[in-house]
Amino acid sequence: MMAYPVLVEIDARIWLINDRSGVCAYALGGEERGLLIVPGEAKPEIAERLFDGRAYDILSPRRCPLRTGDTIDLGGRVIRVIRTPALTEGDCSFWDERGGTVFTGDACVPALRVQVPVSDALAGLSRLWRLCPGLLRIYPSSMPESDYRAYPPELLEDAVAALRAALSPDSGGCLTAPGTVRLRSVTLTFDATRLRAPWESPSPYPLGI
Amino acid sequence: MSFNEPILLEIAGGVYAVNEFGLATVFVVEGTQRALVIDTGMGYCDMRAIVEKITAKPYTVVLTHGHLDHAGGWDLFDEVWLHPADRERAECVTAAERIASGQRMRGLEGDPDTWDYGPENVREWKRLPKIRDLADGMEFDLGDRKIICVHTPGHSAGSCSFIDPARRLLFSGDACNVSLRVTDGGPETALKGLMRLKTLEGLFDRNFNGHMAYASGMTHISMPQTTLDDCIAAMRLILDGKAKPVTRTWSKYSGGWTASFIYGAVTVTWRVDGEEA
Repeated sequence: MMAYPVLVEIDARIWLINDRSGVCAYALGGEERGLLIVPGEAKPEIAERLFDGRAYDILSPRRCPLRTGDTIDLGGRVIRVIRTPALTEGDCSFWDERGGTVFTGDACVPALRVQVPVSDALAGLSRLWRLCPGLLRIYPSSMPESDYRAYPPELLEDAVAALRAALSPDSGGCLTAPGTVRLRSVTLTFDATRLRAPWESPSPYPLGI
Repeated sequence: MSFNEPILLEIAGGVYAVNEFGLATVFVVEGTQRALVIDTGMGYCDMRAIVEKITAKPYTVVLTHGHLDHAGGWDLFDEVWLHPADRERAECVTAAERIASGQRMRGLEGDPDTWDYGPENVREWKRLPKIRDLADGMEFDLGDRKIICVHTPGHSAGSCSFIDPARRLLFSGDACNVSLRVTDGGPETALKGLMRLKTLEGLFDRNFNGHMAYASGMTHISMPQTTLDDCIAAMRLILDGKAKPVTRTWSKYSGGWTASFIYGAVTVTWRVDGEEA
């Protein structure tokens, strides 16, 4: 076992931290404070070093208490919260407009697992697409162990298309098994009995952006 | 569990790095039309295949200098740009030297089992690339921006650094480093190159050396912000005879006696020929 986590400077004052459990945390530094986006156990030691002693907040992209539109001002860098339910209704993404980078937690990954109603997941990613003009790079909570290159915006496009296909009676052959859609860079698995929230009226038409 | 392949990174939008088993870092700067590949590693992997996995664009290969850990993988490329002062040094690198260097670096900075590599990874060169001459001031047009070459001798006579003004990045090879070894020309020569970088510091915010996550370290980050100024101040102290405390060591790597001292974020080592222990 390695003694240290993998630390990668992915932009000016933004770092990826992989503790080799397969889950990545992200540290974002501003002029006044920092933000640690960590889906699992917090890494206070590393944060102290990266943030040069500045105060910082810790937020999880899973079961996040914040709402779409909430912002975290780090001083010279404003991070916007966008609700993107996927594994849980509380899943959030964090948009750094200055760098064109979004940190999506579990909501936008090549192996996309959806445990909420599919329509909710689609609404979330559609919202992400709409609220992130100038999107250049996607960083989810899980990255390959030897490859820390960002995912391109096409991953979000493919995830949205896969969710639409899951809701569509005519998925164009993308539905490879009950609850599985393979579409370009995304393999989506979902609960085929949870396409829509109970209060939604059934519609033959897929939700649009 | 060990890493048995190089680690791919992205340090800014469209700017990639390859950590070759902790031995060296190769950078790929991708523009709208072309890419620039900076260095080729130590020849422990198929760096060309990795570069072509990262970018589908036509690319130019440049070397920061001709040492074995930067020119070691050049045999896989058709053409590389290198400052003529380092050409002979690069051409004389052997597979045995690269094997020995890899063995020496294993375990430095941490767990010796971090990386899974061995002599069997090292390729004998079956050919050399076509070598073109780098010069100070050259620019490499990537379509949306030009990468500037700056001659920064000192670590080697032909050391060059590269500036990406769009992403505000400096790729300094081993010329402006937290561990600066001045092996060619002495501190006076190194100071001239560093001062040249100083005149251009408005073009970059982050300085990446040629060894991110050195050896077994897993910290892939830029140099401390004070590195350039600390290197300059250290050279001046050496030239003024005010550098202290100084340790002296016989260095097989440098081929003679060397002196070292620490200033700020940097450790500077330079040749002191003719001096006794």
